[in-house]
Amino acid sequence: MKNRHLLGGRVNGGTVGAAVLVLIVALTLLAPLIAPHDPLAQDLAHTNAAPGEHGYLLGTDQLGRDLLSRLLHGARTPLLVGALAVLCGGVFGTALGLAAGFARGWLDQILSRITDIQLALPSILLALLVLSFGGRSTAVLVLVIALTGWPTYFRLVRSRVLALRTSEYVEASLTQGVPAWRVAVRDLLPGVRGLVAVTATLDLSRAVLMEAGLSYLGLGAQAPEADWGLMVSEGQGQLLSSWWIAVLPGLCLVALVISANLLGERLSRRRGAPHVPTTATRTV
Amino acid sequence: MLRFVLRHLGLTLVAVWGALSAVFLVLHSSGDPAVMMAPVGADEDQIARLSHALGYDRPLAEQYVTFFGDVLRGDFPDSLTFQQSALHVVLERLPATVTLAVTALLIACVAAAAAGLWSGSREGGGARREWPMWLVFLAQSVPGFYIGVLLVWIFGVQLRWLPTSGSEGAGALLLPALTLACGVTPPLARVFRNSLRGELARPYTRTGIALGMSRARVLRHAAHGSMLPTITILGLEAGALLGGTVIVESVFSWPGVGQLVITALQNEDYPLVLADLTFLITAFVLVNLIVDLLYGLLDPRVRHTSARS
Repeated sequence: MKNRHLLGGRVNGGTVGAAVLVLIVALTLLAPLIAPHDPLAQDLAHTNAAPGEHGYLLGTDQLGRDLLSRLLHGARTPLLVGALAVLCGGVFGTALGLAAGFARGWLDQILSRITDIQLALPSILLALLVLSFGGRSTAVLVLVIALTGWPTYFRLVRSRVLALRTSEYVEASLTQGVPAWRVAVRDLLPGVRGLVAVTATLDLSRAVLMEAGLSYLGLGAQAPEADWGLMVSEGQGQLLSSWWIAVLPGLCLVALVISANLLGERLSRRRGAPHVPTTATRTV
Repeated sequence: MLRFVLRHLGLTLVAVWGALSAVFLVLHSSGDPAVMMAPVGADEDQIARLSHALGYDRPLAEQYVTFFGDVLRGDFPDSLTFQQSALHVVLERLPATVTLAVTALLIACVAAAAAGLWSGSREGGGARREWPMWLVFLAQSVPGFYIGVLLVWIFGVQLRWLPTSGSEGAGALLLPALTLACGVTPPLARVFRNSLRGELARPYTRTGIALGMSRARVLRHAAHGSMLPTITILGLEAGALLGGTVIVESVFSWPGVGQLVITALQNEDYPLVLADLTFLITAFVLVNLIVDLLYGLLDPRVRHTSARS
């Protein structure tokens, strides 16, 4: 009963999600100050220490590195790569969606076909393709995640612009001879701002998941860096003796993704925006 | 019907062309692909010879045309680690992937049907009705590789019920299939639940109840009515399934096509990576075509409206 009160009252999933998200970002920013150890410092005398042993609050990994410090630092890459990818994909997709919905004609035809083809392909395959033959660096990683994200923005913005285009205030601007690019920026862009914000929140959880998945496969963050996805992969071989090395970073990842999803779903419901499919969040 | 089939064949050809062009583009984005195709430690002379043998020294436009021919004939450079036709290596691994994907799909269908029936057919609200959907939300938010690691930890390490990796016996199949199913179930369960609720609110349901039909029978009719949207989602899920195999097979060392591409990458066996990815992408587009055609077969409305638009 308490539970229902919590959900029905002021505190809803969105608030909880936002709070956890802020907490994770704050801890990540403060990590260099509050982490008890250097995340890369090895203590070979105390490898695989259980939580609480030898003064390590959450134990150590197979190289004797303090797990708590690595967890605090481990969100930096997923958040940074995720945020940059969302920014790139969002700007690119929104700009093209705006152009296609406004200009229509051949531009719209070509761009729509490209998104059709791309949305038809599993994004992990696309990412593998680019990371195999296009080089492996943080910049490429950001671009790959942005590349697999932009069609969602494009589609939503395009369909919204198609609807807005026939509204009176846009017609009025156009008949007055306002240049097209200015109509697009001044009249249409504000109309899609909320939609893009909601999409970006849900896209962040997709981007973080993808970074983690690629790092797990050894194609994202590289050892010895502290990165949640990579840490799960490094700890998997130690499951038999030391479960915490793989299980704890994964839990942090789940907390991050769930909070972004909760916030995103809450925002999209409040704005009455068309439901942004969260299916995209689980390709890896 | 013929127009419908032709239209979808055309769209598939465009998709295959687009996907293969993307492969070609990425392959040539870093200059001469022979640098990657050559064994590690090859000198410049060897690379030049390989480049000539594979035709990478000819004009790009010509290569673009021959590339399609090569792919259609399954003519890829030989795998470096296996010393044989790369496509042959890929095809050898195919049965394992198909077994895994089909099992996962079956598990997902049963799980989605159960979750959808439970929360779609119940009156009122709250936790008693919604808990399967919360599980679905959770399954959607947990990365696939982490679900795999957790299952290995719980069932393989703690309880020692099931093997943690490999492909021997039905027990070894269960955990990877379960992991893969976790990724496919959520959208399926959501759509089924929502359309079931929609069907139950329609007049024919009320008529059935008024006529004294049993609850089970009413539900059966409503479930029948919610099949179509659910099957559509099932088709769209083919991508998640195929993409998921790459991750899940790697977690469990399941000897399939997905794990092959990752190990090939680790061994820097780029000819094999190329053959594997090209195969996966093409296979995926073809599976989509079959799903679209089946969908048109099931629902006459689809073939008529799509022919008109």
